[in-house]
Amino acid sequence: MKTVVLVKQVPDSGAERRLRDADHTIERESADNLINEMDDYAIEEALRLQEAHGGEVTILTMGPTQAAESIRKALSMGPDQAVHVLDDALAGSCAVATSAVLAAALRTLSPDLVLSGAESTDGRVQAMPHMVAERLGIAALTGARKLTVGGDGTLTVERQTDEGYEVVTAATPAVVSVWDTINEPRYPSFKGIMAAKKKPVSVLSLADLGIDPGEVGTAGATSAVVSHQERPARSAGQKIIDQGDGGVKLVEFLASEKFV
Amino acid sequence: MFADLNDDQRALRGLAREVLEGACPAPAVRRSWQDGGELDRARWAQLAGSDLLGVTVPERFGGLSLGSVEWTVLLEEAGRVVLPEPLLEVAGLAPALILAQAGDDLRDRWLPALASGKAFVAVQLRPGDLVAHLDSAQAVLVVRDDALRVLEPADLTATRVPTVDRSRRLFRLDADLTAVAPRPVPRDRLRRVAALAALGTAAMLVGVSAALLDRTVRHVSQRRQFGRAVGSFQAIQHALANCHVLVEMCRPTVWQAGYLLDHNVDAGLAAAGVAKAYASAAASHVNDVALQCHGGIGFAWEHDLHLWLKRGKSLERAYGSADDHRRQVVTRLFPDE
Repeated sequence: MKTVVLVKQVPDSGAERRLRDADHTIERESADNLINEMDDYAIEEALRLQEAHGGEVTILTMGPTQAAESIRKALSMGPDQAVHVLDDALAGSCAVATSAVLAAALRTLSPDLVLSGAESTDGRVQAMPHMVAERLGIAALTGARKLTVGGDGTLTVERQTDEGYEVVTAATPAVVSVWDTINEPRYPSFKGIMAAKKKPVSVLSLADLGIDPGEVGTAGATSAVVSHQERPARSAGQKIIDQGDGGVKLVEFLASEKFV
Repeated sequence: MFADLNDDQRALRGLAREVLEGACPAPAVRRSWQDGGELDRARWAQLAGSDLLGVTVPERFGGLSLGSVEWTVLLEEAGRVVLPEPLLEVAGLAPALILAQAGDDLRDRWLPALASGKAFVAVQLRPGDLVAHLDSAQAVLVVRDDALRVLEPADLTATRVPTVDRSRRLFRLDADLTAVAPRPVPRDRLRRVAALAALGTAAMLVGVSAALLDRTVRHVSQRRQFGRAVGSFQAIQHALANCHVLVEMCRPTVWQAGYLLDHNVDAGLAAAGVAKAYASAAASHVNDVALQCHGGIGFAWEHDLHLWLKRGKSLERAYGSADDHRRQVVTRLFPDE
């Protein structure tokens, strides 16, 4: 089975992040950039499928030059190769344009299975897997907490919902997005890090994909951030002094916030 | 002369930090204080899966064939998270002892198993030394009189001893060594292993000190008194800056000794002693300053600081105190006195 994992480099969500005043985009230079957390689970799932069923695993990333670091990191976990879509014109691309670029790159790879994280920790749109599947005209099995591949290549997914889970199936090729409940990603190994240095990473430009630069980037974006402001400082909480009625006051507070 | 880490050594440090921080966060160390520091097999398997147990094991036995510098880089990270497991002994001294003796049978049996984490081997370099995790060991490598003896669990009695740092699980070893066949080891190879023990401990101390300093800087940046962060006072800043200088000076001293032990053993023996003397003295100072800067909370059992303080105090004297190593340096400088 030929699997492609969509991997996005994001600023560390655990660190302080800043937006640029000029164009409201995130300051990537000052941020600590790493692999989107949910994508680690997608890579792990791809590797487990490869261990069980054979085939090859390719990492596909669209991003600036520094995304190459995350690509090597992803390769150190075990995938065979990577494709990096790199073009200055891509800066500021919206989700719709990004999906067009990823779909075009995926067409050149013709995978049986496209795996991705269910969301990125920066954009949190959760729409990329659907958009890519729609553009490729294949099924989207999203929000998986479990993925199994049948003997005939049928994909069965337990799709996590607020109430429980749904079981959905599709024939390959298909897009599957995963939550962090699906597995426990492995740590890289030192041998894996050394091997990753030698693994092929092909770089594709918009011209290679036959995409007009005017359709992507800030210029071609279908959505725009018009303003931003810093999160207000945390205000002091409400203190309840227990004078025998502390329990009642607590319940009143919970009730006012509709927790009880 | 060793100048700085290369890209591969930095990659190893990054990997070790990622794996150890994930596998051994402070709550896990605290748990090991409560359960008596029992061997965490899942954590050990994670270290093995990332190739961190076979750093100095030759490639033909499944290891990485890396040198003592890389080994100290790994141990600094282990010290930084106060890893309860005896990485120094199992992943460093045990392979070094097995490689120092001539028998292929021991190499074939233990080296692949040590690198893959399938075997756990304890080490006793000197009579009376306490042995870490003796209860989990499938074999104990005992050094006496220029020879190595491999004891099986049935050959020995293990008695747990109380430790200040409860995440260090130490035992007294009692065994009839005459019942086990000795395997001769050249004296200079044994001296090198003893130097590795001191050096590895120095590396862990650097990690403990660096972590204490990080934690203290974070604490004084947040803790407010007299209307401002206590870290804004010069008295605190200078004390911590001095600690930083000490830690930064220790690290290359450790690397240099590691380099020399692989390239010029005689010089390496002295350099390892210098590294341990320096790291012990620095750790002692950083330990005091970290506790002082934390104020009363630093004494509290509930605060994590003491996990680092007590590991630092135990390692200061492990495999030779600063004074022991200074005395050895004096003997080297004045052999006829």
